[in-house]
Amino acid sequence: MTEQLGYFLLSWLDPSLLLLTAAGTLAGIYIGAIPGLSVTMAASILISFTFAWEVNDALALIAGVFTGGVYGGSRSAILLNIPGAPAAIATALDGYPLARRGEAGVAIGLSTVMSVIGGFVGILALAVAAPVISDFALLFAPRDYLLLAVMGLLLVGTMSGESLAKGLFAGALGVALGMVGLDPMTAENRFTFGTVQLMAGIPYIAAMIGFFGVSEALVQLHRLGVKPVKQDVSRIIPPWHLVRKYLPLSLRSSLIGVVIGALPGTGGDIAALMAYDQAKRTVKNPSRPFGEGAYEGLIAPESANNAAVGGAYVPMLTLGIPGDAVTAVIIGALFIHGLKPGPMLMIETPHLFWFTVGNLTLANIFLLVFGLTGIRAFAKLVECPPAVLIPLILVLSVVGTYSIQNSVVDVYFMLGFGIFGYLLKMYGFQVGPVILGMILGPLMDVSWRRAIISVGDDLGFFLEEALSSPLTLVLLAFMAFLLLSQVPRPDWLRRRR
Amino acid sequence: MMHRRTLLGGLAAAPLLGATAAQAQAFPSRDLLGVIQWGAGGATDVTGRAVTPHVEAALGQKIVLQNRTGGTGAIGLTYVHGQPSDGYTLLYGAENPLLYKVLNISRLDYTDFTPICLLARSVPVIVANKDKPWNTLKELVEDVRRNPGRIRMASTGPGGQAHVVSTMIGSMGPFRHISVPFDGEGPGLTAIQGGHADWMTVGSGAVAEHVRAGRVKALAVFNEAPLPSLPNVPPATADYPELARLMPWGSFYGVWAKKDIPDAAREKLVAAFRTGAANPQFTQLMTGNGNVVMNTSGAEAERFLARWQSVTAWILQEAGAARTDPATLNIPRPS
Amino acid sequence: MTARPRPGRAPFPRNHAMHEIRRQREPGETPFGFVLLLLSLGVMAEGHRLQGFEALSAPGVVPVAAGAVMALSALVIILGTRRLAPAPGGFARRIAPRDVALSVLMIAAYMAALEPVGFHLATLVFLAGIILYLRRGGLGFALAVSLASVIAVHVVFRMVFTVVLPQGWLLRGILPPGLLQ
Repeated sequence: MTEQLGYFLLSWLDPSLLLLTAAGTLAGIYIGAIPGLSVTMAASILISFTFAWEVNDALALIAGVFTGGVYGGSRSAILLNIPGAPAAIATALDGYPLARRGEAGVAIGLSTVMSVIGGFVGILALAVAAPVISDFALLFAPRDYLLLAVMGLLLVGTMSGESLAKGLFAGALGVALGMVGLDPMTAENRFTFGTVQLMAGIPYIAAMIGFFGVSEALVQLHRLGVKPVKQDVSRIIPPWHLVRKYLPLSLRSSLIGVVIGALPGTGGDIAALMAYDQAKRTVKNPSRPFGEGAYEGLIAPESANNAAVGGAYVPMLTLGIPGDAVTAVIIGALFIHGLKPGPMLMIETPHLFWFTVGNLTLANIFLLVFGLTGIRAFAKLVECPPAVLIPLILVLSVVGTYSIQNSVVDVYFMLGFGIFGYLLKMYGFQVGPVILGMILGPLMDVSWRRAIISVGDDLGFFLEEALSSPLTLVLLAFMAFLLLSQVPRPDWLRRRR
Repeated sequence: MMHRRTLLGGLAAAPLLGATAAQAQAFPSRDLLGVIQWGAGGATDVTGRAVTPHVEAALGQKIVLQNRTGGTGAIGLTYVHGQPSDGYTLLYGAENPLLYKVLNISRLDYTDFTPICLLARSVPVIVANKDKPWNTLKELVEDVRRNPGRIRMASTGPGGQAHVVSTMIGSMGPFRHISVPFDGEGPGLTAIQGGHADWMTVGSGAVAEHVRAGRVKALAVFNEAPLPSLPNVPPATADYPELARLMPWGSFYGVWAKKDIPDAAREKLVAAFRTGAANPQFTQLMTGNGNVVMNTSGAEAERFLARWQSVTAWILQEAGAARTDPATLNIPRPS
Repeated sequence: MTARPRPGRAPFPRNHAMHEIRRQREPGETPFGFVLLLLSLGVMAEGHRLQGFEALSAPGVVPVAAGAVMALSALVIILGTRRLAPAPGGFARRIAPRDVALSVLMIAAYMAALEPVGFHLATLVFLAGIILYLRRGGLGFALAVSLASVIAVHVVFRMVFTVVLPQGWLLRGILPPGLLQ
């Protein structure tokens, strides 16, 4: 026990490790906030230049960048409606309306505190229950991933805006966009029209920047003359009673985050969207209607995506299986440093496990500190006149899109999506479902086909297997509940709140 | 002038400015770009990132590494092919491009490139869910024959290691099974452990630790001799000696440059990679992961590639899995 | 350095307020619906090409399903649109007012210039130009902002993250070598 505590505190007591974790967290926040710079990219760059370092130093830096980066995406989502990272897509839905109401400071403060709470839940789950969670994650068969994807897509119903048909169209369009490229299962070309560029698919970060950022910038051009809303920066750190009020929601969302994060094949982006959906369904009287700046719509995804960080480490440390793209890079780093990530890692090098847990805890503390400082300056950014801010957003969108894979073609796509998204918005569509479809469509596609191939295209056998798996039954029951809760209630039921 | 890397215009502008001649004199005079055709954390990525620091030391310049993934590696390969033939852009690749033409994935493949160094190869290991009754390859094959179309194999897509090895086993007699494609070896192994697939073929590097921990059961290594990292696992030839004609076979990782780069640049690169891949730190890492260090270049590497392509393409053709007949591509039948 | 305030423009359709139901048909909304319908049929056609109607596990199954949902929704959308009363004002006033149309053209030109001219010069000109236009004057301010932005982007992306920004080949021989780097 004392030995484990020693490893846990290793990075707290060693000044250079402490400094590296702090530097990583701070850098991560900005990497996350700048669209186009991803944590995966930062982690792989870091691994190249930490090659000659001690493995602990490298891991400390990466843990910091990971923690900071997942959080940092919320900054640009709230301020500019450009999610800095896919995990912050759900954050933009209510975070940006908050900023437009002059509450950017409150939104950032609240998302910081809730991210840290989510982060701690994730770490706690990792420390206490890692083997149990990873065994649970292994139970998920392709059909269960299919159910998860479909459940996530049901969010379209609550993200539709003025008409369900428009929401459905946008969601299905997203699914179709997600199909573009070489089919991962048969290597057949889908929607590529013979171009090699499209074989890798449409990078959804480019679509995200176009649909969210550029289209919103174009919409804003309509009100150049309107003075930007004055930002209230008097209370940045959320008061204790507010934190306590939302604690149950934050904890619920964090649990969703841990489980989705631990599943290999799903990460923080899906966790945040699912948590948002959960909040929308379970919170009876939100501070404001969802989509117009509800605190609940900000808290749920922000708690979940940081909890997913701890979740993603679970299968990595216990089984050597990456929980997401970043942990895949970390596994590569461990290999390069001569360690053998795998089921024996925790048994043969237990210090690595406790060192990681301690390190993530430390990174979350730094996150709280860095996250709550400098908010005023950030919030004031939105007060910048639109005639200057909009051009800067456009350039940032271009550079960000270009840097995903150094491709000018992606930039053209981004602009195309921006203009298309602008038209969609002008004609009363919401663009959120498009991105939702792009993220969940591929998961649904491969899971469905994998599930059907597994039973030799035999639907009877498929049902037989599905109905004999307790996990699948639970997921099915849960989905039925979601569907029923979406059916509009008769008037007399709705009137009495 | 030479410190500039253009994306499209380099080809047109470079001769105009006489840059090619200058570059050849003192190659390399600036940073190189290494394009990795597979994702971060994968075997190609890990091998490439592990060798590069040692190569940089020998070369005296940095190699900036970048993952360009997608299209089973075709995206990265096509990108490098579109760059100027000056030796400043390298392709870090695996075996897949050798099957691009047979599987109609791309019209480019390694024949448009020159191998700078084949770094290492992995040996396929046939593994099964630990609760399955089979303990040898023979038991698995016979069970598949008794229950055709019932037993599930996890694969990594057409042309992937699992697909090709199962086709090779199938070349010895009836072998009808369900093949469920997963996103890679890691997800496939996860499915095996969860019982969502029964068996698969995985590279030795990815699976050694799982076997050692008893999470999966290794039935055979697809090799003529046991592996040092898995000493108790019998070679596949113990049960089926006729498989020996197809061996050695497995994934391999290497570095390529465009075919028409200046000879001086090629020689510099080959020498630097030979030194880098001989670094004990690198070789230890590779053998520790259950890989076999190759460190070959030039004619020997070309021979290895040609043989690999011929064996694999024709096995796929005989199984009806090829989309273009290797004969029309002038790929000779294996002798 | 001062930007003149501008008079308010056409009434802005509020899309953010989800609960507010639009009563008017925007110009171009019906043709847009038909474009969406065509898009849906295209998606279904590609799904069909990929055997989406033939096998449950074919690569075309999900595209066919997505295309079908798109087509049905598009039909509902078109029918719904027809019931609305048209909004006053044409396409050029409500959907593509001058600020939006010109800005889009400027962005398109900027993107087209990225590769030939290089990132730095193209961005400098684009930013200065669009700020100058949107603020209706203030050349010095526009130049200062764009220069500062280009430097900031260069430091963060090129130097810290080693992203190789487009360098440009058009002006290689003309400008001194250090300028575009």
